[in-house]
Amino acid sequence: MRALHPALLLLTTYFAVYLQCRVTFLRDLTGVQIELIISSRVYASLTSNLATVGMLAFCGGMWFDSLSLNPAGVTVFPLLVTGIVLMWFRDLLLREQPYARQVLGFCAGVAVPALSLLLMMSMGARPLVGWSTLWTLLVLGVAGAVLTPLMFRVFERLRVLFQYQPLETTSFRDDREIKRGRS
Amino acid sequence: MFKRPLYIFCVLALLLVVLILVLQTTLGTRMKLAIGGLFLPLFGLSSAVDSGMEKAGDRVVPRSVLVKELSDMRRENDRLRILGRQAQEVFLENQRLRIMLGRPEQMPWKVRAARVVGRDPANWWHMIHIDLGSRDGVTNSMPVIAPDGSLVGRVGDVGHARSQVILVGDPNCPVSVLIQETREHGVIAPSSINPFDQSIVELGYLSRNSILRPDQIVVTSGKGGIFPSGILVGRIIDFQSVDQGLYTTARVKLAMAISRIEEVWVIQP
Repeated sequence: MRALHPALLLLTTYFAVYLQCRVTFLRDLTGVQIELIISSRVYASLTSNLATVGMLAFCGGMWFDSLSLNPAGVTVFPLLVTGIVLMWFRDLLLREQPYARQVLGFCAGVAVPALSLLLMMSMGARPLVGWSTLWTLLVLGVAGAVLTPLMFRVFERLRVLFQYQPLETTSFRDDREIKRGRS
Repeated sequence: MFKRPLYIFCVLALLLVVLILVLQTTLGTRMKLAIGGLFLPLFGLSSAVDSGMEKAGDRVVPRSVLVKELSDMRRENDRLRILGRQAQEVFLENQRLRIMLGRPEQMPWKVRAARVVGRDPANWWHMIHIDLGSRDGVTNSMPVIAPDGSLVGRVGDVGHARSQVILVGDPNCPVSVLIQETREHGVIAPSSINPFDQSIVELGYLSRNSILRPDQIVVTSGKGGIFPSGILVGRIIDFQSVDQGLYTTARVKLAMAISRIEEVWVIQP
């Protein structure tokens, strides 16, 4: 059961990458494709160990780049850096609060694509960048803020469904029961 | 907070990332195609669901509508057949004249239909995925057109059963074009992007004496060795002088709408 959490995260990332490639109605509406893997990344960084965070960054980044014109591996680095930074400070963050999750989602939603862009441009690639990039980053940030608390709720539900729950102990004790009537 | 082995893990992970980033382009492309193969079952599944829904939709269409559509199609087919015969005559005449003038023969296009199965998940590129690959004879840099004959782009990386098509307006797909009316040559490049309308591109390298006006048709020039000449690209919206009047650039509205493309034709040599 210990492997269930990373497996669920990995599966979610796989489907998220595919959905980003396949579902385009939000892109047609806003001109920006929402990045679903960033929200699962935030959740993973705040709840998992470093091995899971590293594996998710590697797999998610490579899967994303394999369906994109991005140079191979360019998304791995921003996902890894964001994940490690969030993990580093997770004990200082109020990660149980929805507001904190929203802020983290917004920051990650802006940071990951911005870092990817910087890395690509420094490698000599020529992505489509202009004033509208600010709009793109803003929409990605807002999407991150909206989706991250949702992602937390979904994963918490899944955890309840698939993992053994701790046995609740009650204050009732057999030996302290008052027996009424004649025995 | 982190123990020493975890620091080592971070350093190793970053080294791995750097190693992948500095991989040679061909090796990186192969790796991407191999990893992208993991998504083939999902692409196949969604194509099957799409065609299933299409068939289910066909069953609920009333017979009267189908009969009307059939008669319309027959009429259209007859009209196109007459036009085809005329075009065949013109083509043969053109071939004869070319031979007389000693110019190379123009080969008719061989086209193959493909279904669009996805788009680039990143926001920085204009690219689509189609369901044809190397098993169908598709190779790199083949031109791709829309069902209405307008230019879509060129084939990029080719997998076994899936290929990438880089769309017009992406920095990786410059197109040599000419204005049909004035025969003025230029190159299509991405515009300073409007996120709400990705179908507007920039036509650059026009001379300052160009005679331009809105609504002029822009077609491929055939130069550059990838796109055959005469494919519709779009129409001019407006133009302006740049570099203190040394050159002119025009904004072109592409004939194909990226968001509405569902099927394309790959032109095979």
